Amino acid sequence: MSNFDSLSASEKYSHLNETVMNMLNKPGWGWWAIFAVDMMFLAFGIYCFIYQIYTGLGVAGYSHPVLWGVYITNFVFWVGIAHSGTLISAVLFLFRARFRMSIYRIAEAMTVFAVATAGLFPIIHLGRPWNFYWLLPYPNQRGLWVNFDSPLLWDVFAVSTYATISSVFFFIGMIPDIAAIRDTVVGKAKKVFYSVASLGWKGSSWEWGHYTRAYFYFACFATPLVISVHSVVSWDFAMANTPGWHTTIFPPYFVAGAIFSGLAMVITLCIPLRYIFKLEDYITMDNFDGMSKMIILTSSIVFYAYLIEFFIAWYSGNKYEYDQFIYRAVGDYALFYWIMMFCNGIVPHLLWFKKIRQNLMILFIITLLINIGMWFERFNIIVISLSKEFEPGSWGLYKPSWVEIGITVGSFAWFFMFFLIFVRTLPALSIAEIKEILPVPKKNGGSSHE
Amino acid sequence: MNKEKQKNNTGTLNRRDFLKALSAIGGAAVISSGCTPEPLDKLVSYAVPPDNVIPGIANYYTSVIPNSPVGTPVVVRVREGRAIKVEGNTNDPITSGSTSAEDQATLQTLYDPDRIKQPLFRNNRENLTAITYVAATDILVENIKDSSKKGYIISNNTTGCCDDLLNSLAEKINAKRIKYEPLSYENIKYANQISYGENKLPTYHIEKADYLLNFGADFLETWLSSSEYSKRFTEMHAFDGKTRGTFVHIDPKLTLTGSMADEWVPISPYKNLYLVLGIINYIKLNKLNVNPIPNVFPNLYMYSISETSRLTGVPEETIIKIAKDFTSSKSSIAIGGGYASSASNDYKTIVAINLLNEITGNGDKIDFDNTLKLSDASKFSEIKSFIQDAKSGNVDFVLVYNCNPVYNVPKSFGFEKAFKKINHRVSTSMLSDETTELCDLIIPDLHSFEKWGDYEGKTGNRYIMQPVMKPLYDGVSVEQTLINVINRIVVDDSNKIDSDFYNYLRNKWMEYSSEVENFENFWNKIVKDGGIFNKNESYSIASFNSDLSLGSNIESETKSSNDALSLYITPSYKFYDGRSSNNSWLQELPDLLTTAVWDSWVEINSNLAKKLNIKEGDYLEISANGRKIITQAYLTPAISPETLSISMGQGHTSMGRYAKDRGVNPIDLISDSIDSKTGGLDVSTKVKIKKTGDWEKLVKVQHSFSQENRDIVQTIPMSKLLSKDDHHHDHHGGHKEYDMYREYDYFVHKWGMTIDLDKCTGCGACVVACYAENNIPVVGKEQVGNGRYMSWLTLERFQDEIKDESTGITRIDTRILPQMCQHCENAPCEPVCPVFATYHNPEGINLMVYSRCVGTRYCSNNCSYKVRRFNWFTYAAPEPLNLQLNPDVTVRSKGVMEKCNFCFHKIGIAKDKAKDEKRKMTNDEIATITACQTACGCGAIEFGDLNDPESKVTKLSHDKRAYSLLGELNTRPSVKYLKKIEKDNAKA
Amino acid sequence: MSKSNQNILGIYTYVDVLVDAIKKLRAEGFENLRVFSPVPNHEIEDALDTGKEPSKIKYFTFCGAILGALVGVCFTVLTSIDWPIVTSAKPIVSIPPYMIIIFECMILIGGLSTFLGLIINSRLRKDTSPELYDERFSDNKFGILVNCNPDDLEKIENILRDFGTDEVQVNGVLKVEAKEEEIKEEAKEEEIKEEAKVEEVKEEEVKEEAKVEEVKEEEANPDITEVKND
Repeated sequence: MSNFDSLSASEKYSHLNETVMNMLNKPGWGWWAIFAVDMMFLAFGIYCFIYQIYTGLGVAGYSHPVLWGVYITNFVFWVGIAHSGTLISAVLFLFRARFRMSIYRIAEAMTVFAVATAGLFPIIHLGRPWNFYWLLPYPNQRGLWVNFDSPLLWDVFAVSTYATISSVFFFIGMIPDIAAIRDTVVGKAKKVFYSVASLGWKGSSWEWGHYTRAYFYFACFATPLVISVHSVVSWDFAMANTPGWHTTIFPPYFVAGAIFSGLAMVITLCIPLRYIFKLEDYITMDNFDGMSKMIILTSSIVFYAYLIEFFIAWYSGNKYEYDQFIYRAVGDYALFYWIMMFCNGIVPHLLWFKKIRQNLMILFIITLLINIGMWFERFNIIVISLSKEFEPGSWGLYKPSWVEIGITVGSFAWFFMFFLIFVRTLPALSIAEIKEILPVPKKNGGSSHE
Repeated sequence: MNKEKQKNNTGTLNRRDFLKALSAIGGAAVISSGCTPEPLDKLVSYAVPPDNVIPGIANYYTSVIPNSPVGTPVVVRVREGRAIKVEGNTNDPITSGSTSAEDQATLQTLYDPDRIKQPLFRNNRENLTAITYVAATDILVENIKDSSKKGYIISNNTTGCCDDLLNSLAEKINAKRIKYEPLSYENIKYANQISYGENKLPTYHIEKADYLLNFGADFLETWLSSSEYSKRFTEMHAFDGKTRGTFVHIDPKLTLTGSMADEWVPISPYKNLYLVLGIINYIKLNKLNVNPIPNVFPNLYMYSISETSRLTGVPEETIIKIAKDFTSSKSSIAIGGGYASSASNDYKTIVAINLLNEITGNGDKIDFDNTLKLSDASKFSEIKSFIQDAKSGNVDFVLVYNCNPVYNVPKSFGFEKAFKKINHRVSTSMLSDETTELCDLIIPDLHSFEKWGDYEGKTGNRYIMQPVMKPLYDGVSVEQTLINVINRIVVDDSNKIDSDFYNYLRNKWMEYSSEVENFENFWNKIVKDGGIFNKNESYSIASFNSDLSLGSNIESETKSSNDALSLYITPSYKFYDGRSSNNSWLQELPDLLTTAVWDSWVEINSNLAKKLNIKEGDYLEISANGRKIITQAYLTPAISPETLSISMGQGHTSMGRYAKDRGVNPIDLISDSIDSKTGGLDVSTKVKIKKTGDWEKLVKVQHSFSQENRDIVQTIPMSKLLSKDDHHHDHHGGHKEYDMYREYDYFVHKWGMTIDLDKCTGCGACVVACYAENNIPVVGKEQVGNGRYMSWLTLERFQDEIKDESTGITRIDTRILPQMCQHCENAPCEPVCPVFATYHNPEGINLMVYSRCVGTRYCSNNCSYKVRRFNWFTYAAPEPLNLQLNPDVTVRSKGVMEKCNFCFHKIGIAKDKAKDEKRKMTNDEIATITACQTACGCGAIEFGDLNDPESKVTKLSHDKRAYSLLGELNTRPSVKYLKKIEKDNAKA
Repeated sequence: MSKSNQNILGIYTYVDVLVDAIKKLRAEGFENLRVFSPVPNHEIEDALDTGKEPSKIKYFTFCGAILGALVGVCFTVLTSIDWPIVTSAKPIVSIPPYMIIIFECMILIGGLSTFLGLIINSRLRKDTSPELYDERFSDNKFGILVNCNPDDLEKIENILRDFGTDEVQVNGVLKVEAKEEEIKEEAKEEEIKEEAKVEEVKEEEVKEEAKVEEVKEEEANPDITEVKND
């Protein structure tokens, strides 16, 4: 750190480029070992999926009336994870939050990969996954169209739009950095790859001019998109009349929850990454501090939503709603409910203490717990609500099967596969943007920021 | 569903099956040519179909199902030579077109994959090997030729030609005939013998009463003739706009029948007699009787109210109330005596009941002119003497037809051991059941839909059994076999009978024909109608034998010891005595009161269970008479704490894949005592229970039996119903409804349904009918346990314990809800489907397009009634059960949602027919469209066009009692329920 | 070629001198400037006065968004009319749920057209030929590229040098000039050496770490040095 501080502004620029290039080195055995383990889990997940297609969805643990379970939980979980990336890159960009600069690339990558993971689940959960394309509106000889009234179709549009826009956003942000890699990378194939990917970026002033404008518009678009996507996901539930789903609080509550879980996941990923690649000079404690504070904020929103749901269930006088929430707290799935309450409502408030915010080990554990808690939040909303609806005669319980667990594990492997490839091939730190917060090299008058 | 089945998924009708079906079409063409075993050499589809078959159009043939002891006349729907659906025969005054679940499921017996396909023979105690029919008859003739040796013919209670032929054979070979029926009501017959001089099972005209007092007769399930009594009961108990009969059920266990009662009075088991005597005594003391009281029970004075209460466990005020109500009602009747209450001496109970009816002037409802043919069944003592005979090695030959004594004679009698001692054992059973398994020669009979025959369930009601399709496997009916055998052993040609059973049958029926010269017309008419029906139920009133005295030999029952409980064996309304157990539809039909499937369970009082630390699903060892059975516990408040109850019908060690090794047979525990007077079995047995320590989830369809104060199944007090206040539509509460969208205009039809919760008895016939009509897959025990029960129509039952604030008495409130897709106008399932796989058709039906469904299952999540079913696997029934599949209905494959569609295909058929005939659909035609409505014996379900102001369904849906399920959700269902009527103190 | 316009490129380390050079060049009337930088910089933008000609990307964005919304409207409304299926007794064309689709289409097509606008407007891939670009521009160097008349070449070179350029390239060829050039080169050599030293120290650090891990990691190190020396 002190070493880095003693460098001149121009040297700091170079140091940054070197740091990023270092990450793209030929991976060592450690990386390969992790990658191999990851591939094993992924292969098991794929096996489970093939088995499920071949035998029928009955191999999952679904039990009438709980016809959505772990798959939809995973879908909402991963979509939620996907949210903080664009939040950090777009919303915080618009708010000019400086702590976003060094982590936003990781967050964006996480977004893109999480959407890629989330997108699998609506297909995996279908009874006839080979017909998934029937959900897409395309002209076909059968003359059929899709039902635009269905929240699931909104999902199709929202998630695919989100996937496209966040990928493009991710890519646009990387153009100058890929150009930087192109300029230093050795090896013909790599050179060609990065040249093509950089789209011939030169860093000339008008390129920068258009680039910053485009980036700004993108941020303007991505911001409402972030809000809309998780609102749409929440409408999958809120549009249904199921007690426990049918509430107006869902969109803000889901968006806050998504940001909450996404931030936690970013921290979970950044801490080991920072340690392994020695990025202490760039991903500083200030970054973690800023994100921790946002976690406190979003956790408070989510926790408030948990409590207000109870209040509304009581205050509305709706018996079904009331019974549903009592059931959540004391029923068959109460353990999961209290895991959620503890991990999402109580644990994050440890971050009020600066000492805890500054201790990366504790922070890492807290964010892991938040991730677990947020997974259970979705599980609780989906499974508990469905298991006890209006008609007592139809009540039933759901227990995930090994196939569902296998596919869930496989989905994590799928996500980490992308992430592992990403850190070795693309700039995990935003070179251009970090340079913006580094001192500008000046001959006279020393260095100044901008 | 096991793995094997999943592997063998074919799902749809493949080419082979299609060809097979076409080959079977030939059967329809040769219907009238009798049953000649001509081998089929070619499988060729016909270029020119037979005259009476139009591919795609169903043919209907009358026939009869002789399964239940009274027989059910039916109309069988046949498509391309395959029987695909059974409907009741409306010509029959007894059933008037209703069928039971067992009748509906008979198709599964017809296409049973475990049917014996050809005659089998076991030489020298080896394995059974297939032989030809000719060889089999040779062996049979060889076995019986020497008439000097002692022989037995054991059959069920056969009637008509079959009975004649069996008698004839018995006579020829000097064999003894036993008509063995496990449920033969010896005590009722004997009691009637001594009280009326009629050794018969009479008709109780309960429809003429307005107060029905029932001592343990499960007349809606198996007692005497359940389809007949369901109808009579409905007539008596249904609300006619002014009044409604009262039904008080006295039973240790709240049975299906009891759950329909206005009041269930739990009583200690086998104590009915004391209660009847207590009531009679009370009537006597208070001089409430109409007729003089003969001194049948000399020690009647002993049964004071307090003594009766002590003996029976029935509260004193209840006894007084019953006595008062029984006498004060305009017309009352008391009935009693089912299998479950057949203890030794229980004939006295029936005598006492007869006496009660007599002294209150209600004996006029007992009809000995129209009696059940079941009266002819042998006493159980005859089986006992057979066993003794066989044990001593005197019996050389036995022929078993249509009964399974090895299974349902209590083990304590040693039937199996005795049976094995017989040299020649012949069975004509279609299935390899426990008895058949022990036989050396098996000549399988045909199903009643494959052969000619006749059946007389009740005096004067003769049904024609007509083959509706060609036999699945080349076989010969037992009647034809009997003729063949008789003709071979008769030496004298003049004694020979007509060698063709069809001619034999016709000749026999000439007796019933009024116009002998024009017999062909008569014959055609009865074959079309299904038989000769006795529509006039006139009868003369039997006189009570006032000199009868049973003496003072009524034992003062000692209180049962604490560690012993009474075993209360209830006949199954699904399997009867176990004869229908190898039937996957029935196995999967949830028991109404427990909703358990595919297994046995023991019902135990929940308070007692708590005391003994027993949970639901605990395996209990129940032992008596040196035998034990192990089964799972089911806890219920609806049983007396002194009683354990197990249903009959399971516990087969053989019989086929669906019955074998499933559950337990409680009959095994019964002791070998026989009532010396009646000759009937004493089924009262004291048992001990012990926890084995094993636990497994009891597989049930429904998990929560409480309504949770949600008012799902609503009731209306009688007083409110009779009040002039015309303000109905409670849930709409008078406020105007606002909707975001304008109402949808159903311009031609708007199909709707009403279900009268007051009429529904929960018999399950509609459920099985729906299975048959709509190709609903059977998923098996494991998958039901996983919550993948597929039935489109479920009978939900709610049982809440309601504590009366004023009296402090808790009563059990059982309510049954037949639930299918409600076809909501504002269906929550429709807009959430991303691919329009479910939508609203212009006639108000919420349709499901299977081929469009991708399986997001959102529709089910959003369904407020949870009536949608998802195909978790491709379920395929083993061959030849696939031949039963209705070709009008798609067979669904895995990953697709399905649900009730108001038998949409049948609406189309009816419309086409009307259009072809250039007319509108008639109301009658519309009313019989849905399978559930047609099967319903108590008329609880009505289907019709809500756009037609004259239709019954429209009128009923505007009835004071009509309500929508979960109406507050504003889903606007097309199915309306009529509230169950709650008896209160209001008088009409 | 000699008669056509010439390209002269000055490479800078410091932004302030670069900005001064830009201002001087513009004052001298050389408006055909192109400035390279590894990072967007307001001072450079101000010096070039780019604000007077705002980016056209906003039109792309705007039109894309409008087009997207229209596509969304057509999509939902027209397909519903084409296949009119009643669900839940609701109108065939029900606007509230369609708003979501319209919104998403707007964002999608708006976003993609912004991207398109970026590519078109900034003339990526088409613009500067590789020899007029220096790879250090993505690292820590800045550059001014002046497209000028061959006659002005010397004048511009002088201005660049006056404002302390690190080096000057004409049409991609390094142009060395007299003393200043020597001094510069010496300084540059020193710089390189210093860099090398820093790298050596760094390498050692890396190696030590690698020892703790495994030999394989060491094999990766030559790559690093290669990259650095390039």
